[in-house]
Amino acid sequence: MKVHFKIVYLIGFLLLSFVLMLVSGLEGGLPTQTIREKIYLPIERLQSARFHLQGWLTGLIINLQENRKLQEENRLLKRELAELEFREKNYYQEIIASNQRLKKMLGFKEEHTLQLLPVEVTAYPPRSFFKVVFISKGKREEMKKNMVVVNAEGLVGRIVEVYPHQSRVLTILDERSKVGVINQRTRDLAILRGKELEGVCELQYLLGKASIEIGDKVVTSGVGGLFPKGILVGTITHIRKNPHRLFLEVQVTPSVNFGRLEELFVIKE
Amino acid sequence: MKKLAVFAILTTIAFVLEVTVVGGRGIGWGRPDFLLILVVVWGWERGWKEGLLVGFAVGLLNDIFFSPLLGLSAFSLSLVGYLSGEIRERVYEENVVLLLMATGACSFLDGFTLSLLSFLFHFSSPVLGKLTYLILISALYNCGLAFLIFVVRGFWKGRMY
Repeated sequence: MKVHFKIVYLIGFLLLSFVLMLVSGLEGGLPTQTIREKIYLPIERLQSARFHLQGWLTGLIINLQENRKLQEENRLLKRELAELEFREKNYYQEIIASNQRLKKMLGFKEEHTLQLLPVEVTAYPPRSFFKVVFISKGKREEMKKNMVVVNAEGLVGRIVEVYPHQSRVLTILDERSKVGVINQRTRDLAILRGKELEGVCELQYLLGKASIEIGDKVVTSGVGGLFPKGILVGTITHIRKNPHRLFLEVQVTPSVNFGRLEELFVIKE
Repeated sequence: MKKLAVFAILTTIAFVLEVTVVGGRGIGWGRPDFLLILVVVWGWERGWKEGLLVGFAVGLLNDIFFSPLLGLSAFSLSLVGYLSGEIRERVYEENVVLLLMATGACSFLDGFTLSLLSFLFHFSSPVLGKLTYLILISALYNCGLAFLIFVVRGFWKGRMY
């Protein structure tokens, strides 16, 4: 009798949780995100406090060894270098490739210059399989949903939630993330999807006849208008052809080292 | 009333530790899970019923602030709280090895349940691929923390009597 009571109790709670999941997973279900954006302030404050404390302690240790002025100069130079590196790896390479192609077509298209706003990673969410990060700028700094986030190495992700002083970024490693990409060499279009814990991404909807090779660079295609064209995403590291399937199974290793995210840029066009 | 106050204080501490200590750990690193530890220890100390209740409440709080799906952590932590209390009922309470084993089992159960539910709700790929490095590392961290709490608790009780 007691065992039955236990089981009923347990199943009751599990069912309640499951119903909550079903309802909040529905389109127009529970407005969890809206509620969170309104009540997130205490967590935001804690995350900021931790971030500033960490920064302060790091600075204190460095200052014991180095001159403060040199440190500031170094920080600014690093930021400038990261911006230049990003432009060189993503923007300029793509310009060269586009230029060659366009020259052949005797047409010229003027590219927009990307405006990069420096931000820092303030925190990672607790007990989460979902690959999101929090950045140091929010609504007050004119951050908006779907703004693209990059670093010197390439594409990081896009903003999915905006709080007063912070924003939540969904990285390309998350399985909910989908990015329109193109093979820089062969110009084959595909969709890039994250594979979470494996730390890689996969290309979807790439036809079996595509002539891709291991080592090919993958950049954003610009299709859909969410991600600007030409941002480096990663390199193809594994290709599997299945004769029974229409599409190739392709693995892409991101160019960004997600284990060490520090200074990022938000693209503001 | 006193119990509720203790719960509120411990939950706040666990959340603060999660946001401040764990929040600094980057993607791809194993992390300790203070919320899970709170639920395991509560279930261990107070039995399956309170473990289940505390697991549900703590999980729901985590979902409100961090999860894309309300009820995700509530589901897994309810199970964890129940399991912890259930194990405690069947074994000798003061055995540290059993507490560590229970913590390890609860960590795995939590990781497995989260993976399975994420897969069911189309947030991630199949489950087996997830039972890897990170869950193991997190389980080790959690066991370490549980050991520390056991030692502190033993010291505290020794002082009390």
